[in-house]
Amino acid sequence: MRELWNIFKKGIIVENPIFVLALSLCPALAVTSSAINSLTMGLAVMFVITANNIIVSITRKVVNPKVRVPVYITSIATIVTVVQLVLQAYLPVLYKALGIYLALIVVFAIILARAEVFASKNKVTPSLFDGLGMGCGFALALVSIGIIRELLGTGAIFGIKVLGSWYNPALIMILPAGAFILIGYMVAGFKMWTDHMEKVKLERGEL
Amino acid sequence: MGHYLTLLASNIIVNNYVLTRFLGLCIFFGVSKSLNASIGMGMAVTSVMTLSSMLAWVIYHFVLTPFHLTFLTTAVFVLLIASFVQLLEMIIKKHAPTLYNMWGIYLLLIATNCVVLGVPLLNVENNYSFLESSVSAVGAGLGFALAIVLMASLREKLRLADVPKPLQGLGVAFILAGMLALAFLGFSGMISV
Amino acid sequence: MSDENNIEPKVNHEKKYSIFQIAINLTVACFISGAIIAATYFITAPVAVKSAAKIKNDAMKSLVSDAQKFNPVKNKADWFTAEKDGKIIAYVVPAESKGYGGEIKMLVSVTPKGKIIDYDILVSKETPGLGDNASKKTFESQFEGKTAADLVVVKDATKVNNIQAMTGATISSKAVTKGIKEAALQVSQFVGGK
Repeated sequence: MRELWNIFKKGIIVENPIFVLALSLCPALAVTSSAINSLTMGLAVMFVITANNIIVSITRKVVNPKVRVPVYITSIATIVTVVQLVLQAYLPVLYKALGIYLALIVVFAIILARAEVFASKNKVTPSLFDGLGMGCGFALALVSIGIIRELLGTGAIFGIKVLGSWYNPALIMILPAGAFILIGYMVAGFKMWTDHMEKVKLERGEL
Repeated sequence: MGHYLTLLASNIIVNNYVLTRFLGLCIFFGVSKSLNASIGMGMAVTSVMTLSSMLAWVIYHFVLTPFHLTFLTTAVFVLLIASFVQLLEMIIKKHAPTLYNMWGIYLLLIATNCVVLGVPLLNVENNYSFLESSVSAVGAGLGFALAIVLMASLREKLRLADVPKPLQGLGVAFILAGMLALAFLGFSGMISV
Repeated sequence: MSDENNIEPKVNHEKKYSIFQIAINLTVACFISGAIIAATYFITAPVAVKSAAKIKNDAMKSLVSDAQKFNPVKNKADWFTAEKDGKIIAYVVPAESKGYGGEIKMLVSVTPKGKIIDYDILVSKETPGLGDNASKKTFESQFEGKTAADLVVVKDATKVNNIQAMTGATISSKAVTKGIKEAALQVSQFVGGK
């Protein structure tokens, strides 16, 4: 059980897809102009990574290694198309908000990477937790960026006005430039934190 | 004629695919460490994007639409582009080894990439004609090339600068991209397509 | 020499086996994928159509609050009439114009006499916080009850009959106003032509 928790935890901080591995950055900037869009995208990706990890793990003995990349891509494309169709039918507003970035989930490097690096070599349950962890880390990263951008850019979080009218929104936060700069600082902040945690662990003798 | 020039200019400058539409960021940050690699990557992306957009358009209009299979668009496009790039790589390796040495290595990176998939998808969304799709793709590629070359030149200069440790590498690259995006913001509204 | 002859066929045999295996692998994967997608599509497609229709209906209802029924207009793509008690109380028509950042697509509700009721911005790439405010109530409410002739953008606060431009977004204001004015004129033409 402890093993599974470690696998899950890994994706959230130490190997956070966005802040550490720097994979699949496109959505990090594109959909994070509002917190609710970030949440939707994050949950969608979490679902796709987990589902794909499960599928890849189940079929890992059957898939011919020479053609595994196209097969993984087919699997991911199927899952994403299913998500697209379901959202279009039951949550059309969110579907429209994500636009083409929903379709682009297919080419997110993180999903292919996890399939190749982990799911193709491990059993189903660890793969499931790895997918959940990575997806969770991804979603958390996205939502945190989204909340900051929406808060500073419009004074609201999830559409609820938090800062009063005394706050003049910094428009740049919802524009591309602001997103880049914010993430630059967040990446740096993350690095500072993980370095600090490593130092603490070293001092405690855990490393 | 003017319409196509406007479309081209719009995709290169005003709606730059990297700095305004956030596509192709992984390659953008990965390859912009070296100016030579960036030039090569820019050319590779433009060529692949144009050719695959044309192919995708044909498939969409002559196979998917008549048979009401448009819900398969995403899956078909991805597999199409991946196979096409694989094929291209094999052809270039065999028939133009010098070209392959210049930018063939980037081809695999481009195979599954959001900007190469994004352009055909946007073409479909905007209902572009064949010519419009191709022009749009060329513009997108050139815009990407412009952005990545600019970024590479800036990053090379940065190597001599004293960047604080946490910001080194990815952090400062992002902030730099932000400045570039800010500069490109000045172009908005210049051309309305 | 004979060694070479012994090795070659073995290699060929392995390769042939591999290519066949590869093809089967990929084909099976594609088939399963296609089947799953098709199945999902057939289940969700009718729901998607219903959702889209409901959204369109809700959008139109928000533009003409009294309406009981919406009917499409013959020969006019995307035009709808809003009916109450059997009478046409409004026309809901699409409008388009070139804004600052690209095309602005709107839905406008106009009375048969050519007076604007309300409008909705469907697609716009205007600057957030500036031109984007065209969808806010403060700008929207100005259009209510005005006719096409009144729809001129001014910066003079005393001319209450016209449309006050949004601060820092003159082009967006003019674009939106132009689109709505054209919609009103088209309705007047259509009704007059009857």
